[in-house]
Amino acid sequence: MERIKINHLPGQTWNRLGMNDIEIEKYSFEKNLEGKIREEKEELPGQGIAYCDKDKQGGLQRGTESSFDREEKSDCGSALGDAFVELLEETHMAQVVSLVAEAGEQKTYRMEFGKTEGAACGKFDLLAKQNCEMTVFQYFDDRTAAEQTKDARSGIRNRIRAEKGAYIKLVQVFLGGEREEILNDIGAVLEENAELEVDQIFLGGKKTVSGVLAQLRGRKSSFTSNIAYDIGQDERLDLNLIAKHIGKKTEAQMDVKGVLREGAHKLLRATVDFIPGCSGSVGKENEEVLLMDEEVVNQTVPLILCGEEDVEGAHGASIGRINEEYLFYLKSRGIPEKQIYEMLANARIETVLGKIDDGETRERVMAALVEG
Amino acid sequence: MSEFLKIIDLTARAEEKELLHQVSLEIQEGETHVLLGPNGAGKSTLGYTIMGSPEYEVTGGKIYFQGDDITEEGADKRAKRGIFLSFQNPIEIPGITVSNFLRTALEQLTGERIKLFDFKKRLKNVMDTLQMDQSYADRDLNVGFSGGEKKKAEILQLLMLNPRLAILDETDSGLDVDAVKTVSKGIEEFQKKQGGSLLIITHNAKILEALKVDKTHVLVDGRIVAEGGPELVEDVGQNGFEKYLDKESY
Ligand SMILES: Nc1ncnc2c1ncn2[C@@H]1O[C@H](COP(=O)(O)OP(=O)(O)O)[C@@H](O)[C@H]1O
Ligand SMILES: [Mg+2]
Repeated sequence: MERIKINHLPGQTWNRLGMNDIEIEKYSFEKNLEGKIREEKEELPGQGIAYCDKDKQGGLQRGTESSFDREEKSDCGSALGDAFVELLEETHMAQVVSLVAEAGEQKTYRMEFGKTEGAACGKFDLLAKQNCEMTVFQYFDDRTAAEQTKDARSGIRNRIRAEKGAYIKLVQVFLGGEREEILNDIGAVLEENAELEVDQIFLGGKKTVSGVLAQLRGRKSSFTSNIAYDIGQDERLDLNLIAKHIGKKTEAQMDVKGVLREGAHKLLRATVDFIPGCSGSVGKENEEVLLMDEEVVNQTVPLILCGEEDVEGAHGASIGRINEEYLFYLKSRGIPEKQIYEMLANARIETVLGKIDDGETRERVMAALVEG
Repeated sequence: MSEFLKIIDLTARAEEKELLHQVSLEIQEGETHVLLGPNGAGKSTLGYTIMGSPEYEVTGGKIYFQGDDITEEGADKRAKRGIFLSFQNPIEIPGITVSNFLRTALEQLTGERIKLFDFKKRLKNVMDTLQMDQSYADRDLNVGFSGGEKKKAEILQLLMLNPRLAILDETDSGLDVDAVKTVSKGIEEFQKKQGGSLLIITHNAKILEALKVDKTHVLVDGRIVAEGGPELVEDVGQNGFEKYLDKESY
């Protein structure tokens, strides 16, 4: 079987301990990821929220046509890299789901993907026009899958364009199960004053390779990312976050919080890339890991590339371990050991749920947490 | 009412070293006892052992609480019985806010869900008593707290969790004059309003001023070497531990 390398660390000089990228088996996607999409409309105040399933009504464009032209598509970029993009492009049957928020509009979309067999892909083009507010929820829930998801692989790509003053929030929730592998790619371009927020929760999942590339092209554009994960035995999470500061006074803030249980393997690449000319920009990355056991692999490659002098870059990290002293302190307050572990793990997820601030997402994630 | 806390001939060790030698001590319900002793005497060790720290192995003797033998019980079970230890060096708990932590602990202790509104109200009241800024409720427990703030947070937990017996391990050390006053007020409230029993480890008579002390114990080198009433606190305050140390070397 041929193998390919994806999720590269930008900056070629770094080559240590094989943390530059991850190698995966090369395979072809055979079908589209099946799922449901619904648009959520806020009706008159006080009347609650009405849902309309537009999946079959053609309200959503689903086809080979994207709302982006050729140039715009490639312009969005990819965090997972060319090898992954080629895999997707080779699949002629891959359809694109295009979501558009027109200028000044407020739009919320929810997408739900359960059942998967074999290798399936999902391509999403999100276009947020001037001064709109667009929120997109994507749930990848193996637990609700009706059929076995063994040997299933999924390739997901979101291409995002945020025009002047647009605000776009993409929330992705991955509730892992039997699915063999998830490749999740986000590439975004932001114009002046545009804001992108990417919030992700990863609970379990055998092998997840996920990346976000935010190209802060417009002046004062900003990118925030809140990520939480909780992984355990034989589970692997490979993250690649890249904030590319191109315009002046751009801002990026990436926060990753997670829990590693026995046998888990996590690698985080977090890059703040200051391109010459991006003066006045601020890029920050912060990581907080809780190690629940000794037997975990916890790798982090923070990278700040400085092509510009007048910038501010920061990297912070804290690693928490549960030791005897810590356990005793919490137990002395009446909390049993098992609860302590869950409380500490859930606290990480809770923080990101707080940022997402959405009832349905909270319910889904909490249900998965309770199930354990 | 049978005895409350009864420790008989307690011997404990850590890392092959015996730290407590046949310590016996009895506290009746509602009483306040003071434990004095020079640095390294084993005061904290005794507090930890009563609370059930796995760091110390009990090699002899028994601890009874309200008639039950708890010598082998885990710390969480002892807490459920109503034993509380205010730590000399409280641990930082990143990721858990003071508010969430207290609510979880209360729910575990009582086995009941607690209404958020009632909880918040009570938390606010207690924080006011301790002159703690409300913003501390949403901060991670003890993370980045100063020494004094950590001690206040221990007393906040004491008043919120409302145990039957509280062991206070140098809760007054490292506090400025005003903070000692505030903390004393908190302890007084626990003693008088909540009717709690106390074992206070201290080097400072100041914190005892407003409290009615029933009994004093002096611990030297892991042994109880003297016992008496509140007057013993004054005596040690004036004369130090010298005479007890002397006794040791004969
Ligand atoms: N875990 C431990 N392992 C080994 N020695 C310990 C441990 N804990 C305490 N000690 C020792 O036991 C003695 C008593 O300590 P401690 O109880 O902290 O004293 P105090 O609180 O009275 O100042 C000291 O000599 C200390 O070094
Ligand atoms: Mg001590």
